[in-house]
Amino acid sequence: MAPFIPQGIINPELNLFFALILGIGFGYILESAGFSSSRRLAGVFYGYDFVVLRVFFTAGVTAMTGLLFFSYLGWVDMSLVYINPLFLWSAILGGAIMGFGFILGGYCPGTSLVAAVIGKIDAMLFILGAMIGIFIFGHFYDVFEPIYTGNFLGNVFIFDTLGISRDWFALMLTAVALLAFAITQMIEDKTNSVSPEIQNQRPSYVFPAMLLISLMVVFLLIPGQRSSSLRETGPKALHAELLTNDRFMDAQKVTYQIMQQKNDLILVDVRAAEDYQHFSLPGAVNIPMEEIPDRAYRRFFLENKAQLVFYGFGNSAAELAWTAARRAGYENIYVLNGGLNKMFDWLFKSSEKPNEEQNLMKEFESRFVMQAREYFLEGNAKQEEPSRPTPVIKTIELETPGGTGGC
Amino acid sequence: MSNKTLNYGAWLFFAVIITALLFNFFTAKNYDASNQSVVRQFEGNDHLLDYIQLKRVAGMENSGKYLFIDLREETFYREDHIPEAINIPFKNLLNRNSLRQIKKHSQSSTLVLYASKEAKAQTACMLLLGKGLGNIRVLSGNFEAAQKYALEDFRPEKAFYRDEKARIDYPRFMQTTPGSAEARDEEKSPDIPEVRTETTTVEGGC
Repeated sequence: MAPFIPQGIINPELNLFFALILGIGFGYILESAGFSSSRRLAGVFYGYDFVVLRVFFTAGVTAMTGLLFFSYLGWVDMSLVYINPLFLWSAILGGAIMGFGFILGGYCPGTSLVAAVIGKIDAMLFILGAMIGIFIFGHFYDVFEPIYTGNFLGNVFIFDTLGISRDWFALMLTAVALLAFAITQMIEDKTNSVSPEIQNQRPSYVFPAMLLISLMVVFLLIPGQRSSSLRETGPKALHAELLTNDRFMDAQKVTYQIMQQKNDLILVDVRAAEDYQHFSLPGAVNIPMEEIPDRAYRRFFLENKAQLVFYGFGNSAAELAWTAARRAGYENIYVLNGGLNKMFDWLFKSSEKPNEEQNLMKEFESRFVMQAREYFLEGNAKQEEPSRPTPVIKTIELETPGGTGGC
Repeated sequence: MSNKTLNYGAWLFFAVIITALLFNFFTAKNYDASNQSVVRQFEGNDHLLDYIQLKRVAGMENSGKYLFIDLREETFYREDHIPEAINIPFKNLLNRNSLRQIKKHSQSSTLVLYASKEAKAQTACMLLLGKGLGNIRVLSGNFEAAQKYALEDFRPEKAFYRDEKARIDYPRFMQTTPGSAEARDEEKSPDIPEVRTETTTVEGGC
């Protein structure tokens, strides 16, 4: 359940439950494909039965198609999917041993379990042999270790080493798989000398094959990365909003809110983390401008009820952040007009004591400035401990080296 | 499983994917680059053209490598503008004609946007990048500053003038006295979800 658990769709505690369900499904498919018979399995090597190749190729190609489209549509985050790293020597040696054992014993590990369950004694002995092998490997691990972990190449992909794009490789693999189905069918018929009448009665697989190929062609035609989604604000609407001045909030109002210590306004510092740690307005949280559209902060923006005020030193960073956030479809966002520079200019550099000639409004304002100045200087507006809007930080630990694998 | 069920299964698989693709196609907004990829291009402010570069570039005549785009209103543009600049007012930025013009120019030269405010040029840059255009830079600061510090009389100390820069030593104005602030912390800190860290161990297998 690789991408579901890290994304929080499935609780890790349910892991075993899903393992049971998936295991039952896997076993059912292996058994119904006839994989409990070692004669069928070994048929690939003698040319009379290619059902193993067909089943696994079909499964692989279908899963590949699904994953490609699901990741394009944003249903699956492929960066969270575990990829077995490549250890060259252990892969070659293990593959050789596996192939040798497959012909000799007539099973691979998974199918031997299926066969053992329906009571085949040779399969039970096969499992026993596998256990002995595992025991020997575990016991003399020190001896095998240089081979086991040698020549580590990381997560390499075939399409990267071939130098072609992922989409083309997927199309080619699908084509190769479908071609292989047809060819193996022909070989099978020749070896078993099947009469043409029986061949004609066989159901046709042309239709699903065409569907699969057309899906892969569609995938080639669509752009490599989805550029927009349902929730986003369109460019025209965003441009129209940028032409108005509704997004600006004045320094006066923000200062008043800070002094009143009310909760209906949250300050969001969009400067870099170093600047934020050096100095920030009281109660502000830090989301650097480049991280605004990140998935991690989506919850913070969507669930937030208060007014969010973005600020930077000037207007640039805050307005960029505002544009990105509005494009992502987040609401109730404002920009501190002029940023910190203008706010502090107004607070600390404006004219001194009010004159008697000045009107009442001016007097009010300068009194308010004096109050605010006092408030900031006397430390009531203490710089709080640096905090972020604290999204859920999800760490994924991959097992190294080797992980567990194999069928 | 009979052949019919298999066919139905294949149809279902096909239908789900095609429906989702069509839904995505019809509901998606008219952008050509994803929000994340656009925002990342502003990281590090490498797209800003400082006044040393401006001095070097604006002096060259008809070099064709850089093209300045004036985003101010036409009247301001008529009054004065950077040599060789063309005028596309911000309010017409996403018109079909302007977009076609910008696209044509961006293929042959680097575009440099400027306006009366840096923030305006920056957001214009963001909109254009979202429309899939590239090869765009932004003049740091605004037109007045560029003219004052670079074009009329070059002043090296102002060469890196820009909007997003601290002009005041801020911590000087914020004294930290413990005690007075603690009460505030407990009473009214904004309602923000707690930090949670979820660690998941992913195991391989097939």
